[in-house]
Amino acid sequence: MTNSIRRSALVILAVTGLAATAQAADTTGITDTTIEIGIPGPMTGPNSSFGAAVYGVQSIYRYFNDQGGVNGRKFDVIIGDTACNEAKGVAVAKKLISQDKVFLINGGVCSGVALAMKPVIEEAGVPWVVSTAANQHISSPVVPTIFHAIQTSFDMGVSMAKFAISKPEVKRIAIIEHTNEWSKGYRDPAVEYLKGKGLEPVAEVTLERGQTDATAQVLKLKDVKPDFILVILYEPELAVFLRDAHKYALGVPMVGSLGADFQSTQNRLGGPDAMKGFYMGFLYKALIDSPRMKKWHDIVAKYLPQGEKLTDYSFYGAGSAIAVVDVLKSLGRDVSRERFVEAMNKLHDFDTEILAGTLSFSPTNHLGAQDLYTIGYDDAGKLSVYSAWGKKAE
Amino acid sequence: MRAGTARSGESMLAQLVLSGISQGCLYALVALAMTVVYRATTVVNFGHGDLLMAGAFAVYVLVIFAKVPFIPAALLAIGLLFATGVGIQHWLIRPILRGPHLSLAMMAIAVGYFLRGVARVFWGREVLPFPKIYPDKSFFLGSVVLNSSDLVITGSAIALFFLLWLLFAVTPVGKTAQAVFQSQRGAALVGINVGAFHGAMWGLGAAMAAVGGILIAPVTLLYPDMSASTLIRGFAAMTLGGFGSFPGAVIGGLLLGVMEMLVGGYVGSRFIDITAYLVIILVLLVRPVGLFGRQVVVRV
Amino acid sequence: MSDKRWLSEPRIFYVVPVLALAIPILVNDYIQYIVNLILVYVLVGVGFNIVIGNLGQLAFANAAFFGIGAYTTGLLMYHFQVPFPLALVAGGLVGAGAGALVSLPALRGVRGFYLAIITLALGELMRWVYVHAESVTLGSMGLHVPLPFIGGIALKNDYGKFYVFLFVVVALVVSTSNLLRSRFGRAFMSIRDNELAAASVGIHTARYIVLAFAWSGFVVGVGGGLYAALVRQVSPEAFNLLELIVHFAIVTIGGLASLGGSILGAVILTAAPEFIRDLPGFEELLLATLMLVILLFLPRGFVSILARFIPAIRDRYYRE
Repeated sequence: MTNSIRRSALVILAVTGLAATAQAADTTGITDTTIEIGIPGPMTGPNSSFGAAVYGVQSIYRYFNDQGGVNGRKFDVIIGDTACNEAKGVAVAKKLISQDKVFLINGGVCSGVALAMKPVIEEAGVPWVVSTAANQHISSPVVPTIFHAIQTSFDMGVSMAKFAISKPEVKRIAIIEHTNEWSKGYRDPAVEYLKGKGLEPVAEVTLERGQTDATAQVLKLKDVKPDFILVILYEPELAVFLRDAHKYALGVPMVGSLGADFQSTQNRLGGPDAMKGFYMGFLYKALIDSPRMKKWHDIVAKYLPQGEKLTDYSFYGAGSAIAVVDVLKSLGRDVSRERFVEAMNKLHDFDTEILAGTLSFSPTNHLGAQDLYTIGYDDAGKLSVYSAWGKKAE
Repeated sequence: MRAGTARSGESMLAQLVLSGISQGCLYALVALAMTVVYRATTVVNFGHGDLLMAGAFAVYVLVIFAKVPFIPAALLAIGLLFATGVGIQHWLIRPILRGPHLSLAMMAIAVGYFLRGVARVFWGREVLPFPKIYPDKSFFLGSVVLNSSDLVITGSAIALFFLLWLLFAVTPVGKTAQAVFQSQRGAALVGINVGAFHGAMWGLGAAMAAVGGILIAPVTLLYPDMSASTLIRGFAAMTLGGFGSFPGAVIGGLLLGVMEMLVGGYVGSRFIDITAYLVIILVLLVRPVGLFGRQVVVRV
Repeated sequence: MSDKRWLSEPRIFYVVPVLALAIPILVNDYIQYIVNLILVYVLVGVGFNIVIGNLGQLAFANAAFFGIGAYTTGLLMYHFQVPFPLALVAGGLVGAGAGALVSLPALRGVRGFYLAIITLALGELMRWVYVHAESVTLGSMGLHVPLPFIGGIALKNDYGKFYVFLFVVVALVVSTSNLLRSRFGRAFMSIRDNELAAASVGIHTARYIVLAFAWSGFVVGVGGGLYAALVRQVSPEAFNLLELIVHFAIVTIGGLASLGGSILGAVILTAAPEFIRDLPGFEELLLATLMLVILLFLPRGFVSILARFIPAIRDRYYRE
């Protein structure tokens, strides 16, 4: 070879080399015809009732597949069973990332497990849109690839406190809670919010998980004479507390957190009468079986796996999937992890049609959903969705 | 009772004690059932909690799917559990009865875990309401409030204790139990079918578990792990009252129930859970025979 | 027959860790993680087996030792930035202390089901402490364990952790094997088989009981420390009664009083759930059925079947 040809060859090699390393887009989990989506959640074990949320998310992807997919690609959903156990959760995260090689993860139900999975998912650079887990520390402080597309317990705690003081003349607020981090996740933001309004709780009472009697707690609360009670309990204990509150005629309006299902709690207690005066945080735009929610209600119901029942938890994540699909659609055929993250960061006021309010992300804020409503029975005995005490949401 | 009425210290104490007795009846029931099995076969059934759960689920299935009215369903469930107890003893316990205690404990745990698995297969994804048979009403006794569930639980428990007493003190069953307990060979020589007796006692324990499950389900609700905490309360009651003692099981249960309430009311609700654990640890270290029990420790 | 003699030679097992060194080259991150989890549960099984298999005591505090080790190691790393090797040893030592503590009722003559119940209560009490000593243990959401460092090198991924875990587990398994084959191990088993007779031939049963419990606590505690470094999130629920049932399953299905059984059990119980997913109740049914079958028909566990083909897997209780 002559010197000039060798030089040209070198230049060509150099330029090609540069181009190759310049922007190697990460398209793991994308083929010409499929997009791999991983959904971790508790499908077995003591908390498997929350697995309904995973099936709800899956339903959304199945629906869009039936609609022809997204820009010529269909979704291939892989569910990972964490059994709400940290060790298993990390195994699931690693399996989805290293073995199934999913494009992104759209799931996460148990907060403790989500926190355990976080370093693994963050390290691998796989985009994670949190669908259900409520702990805000999963996505805050901001991790570039992790987005929270569901209201967090921080938002819920603030919402509970807001609702309580939206009732006129409310000054004395008492709290009943579990002694665990989950409760703290609601209680701390609620108390902070109250402090900001110049109020402090007049009493804080605890009820342990697994207790079947709340006599002592109710009596203590009666003694304190509150105007409103914040109830931060899981469903079984909530039912126990409400039952005993009625038994001892506590007679104080109460607002509860999202560890329980309103309808299910009502079933336990035997009917709407047992729920009078009790309100609960509500994630969605309207009641699940109302006309406004009919479209997605029917879609989620239609695409559930054989034998699975539709519960309120089924919708607890579907909103995030709708957002993910919309963002993927906007990318056209050129889909990569970097482009997905970039597009998520630009999401503004996106209406999932399921979640209350809208979703918005920015490079400095990955807590996308912050609005919440409250549900309870109105004076006419009709279950209604409220934006504040006495004000129904439209 | 009007909302916001100040409660005097006395009436709070009375309230806690009465509620404690009602809770304690449940613990007594669990302890008694395990004592029956223990007295008869010297095996502690670590899977007893899951038998409670099975009894409650059996009633649920009968009422909701087979549309059987509640009382017949309850009786049927109790009978089913009786048969289950007999079956467990015959097929699973008897073959290894001569083996180490460890195997018996593991077998009991495995059986319980199996039942838990079955429940999860059918109902793992939901928490179910238990069919309601009595209305939720409150009754006032002076300044103390009692719920209809308090009365039903306490009443049922007392009725059951009485029936058991009749069974053991008046009918030949008691004599048979004595004979078998003192000498299995002797009893066999006298013509007692020791195997059948053991089976019947396990059946009885399981049947009592069914009653316990039916009483507790309206409160805890129906889900596979519903009796998780009740088992260890039962152990605490048995320990406190003295292993192997029937009156001990009852009194131990009642005392434990009241203690938990008092701890909750006066010390702090977070300590309610550990009352049972501390009772077990302290009693077995300080006075292992409990209140009415027999020899527990081995002197080597 | 003489050409099969090598299958009876226990030293063939040293081949296993040597071959295992190649694993990180062959598997992906997920499989490597599962292998690491198996190693953790080998320690759990080996430790548990000492007390309930060899010593024959119904000490049901294993999940508690596991948790104590995990929390000790995790908390030392979290609050005081203690380097991993030191934190791991500390986890083992605190586990040993807990073991000695739990042996107290046994020393006072509490046996059989009573011992089972008191050790259960101790375990649950520990779990209550984890949840409520929030200022220290960070409560029920659990604590996030920082990245483990060994002599300045960060164990960033599961491949690096594997070598450390392998070393620790081999060391502890060999030590336990030596212990069980010594007069200590024989004393344990004589106590299990006939305590009165053992005492009457002059065996100071108390010393051996405490030793067995303490060593068990140490091994399981170290297992807990490895768990903390592996999963990096330690929460109270991971050490509850359901976890204890898994421990039972490991030693029963694998083989009571058998080192090979503990290892086999750990492999089966850790790998199997990876294939049984999404179906509530199936794992419980499978485990329970296996346990029932073993207790009724194969009391020495699956290792006894393996021992027919590889006699070396049978524990030797005398030095050659």
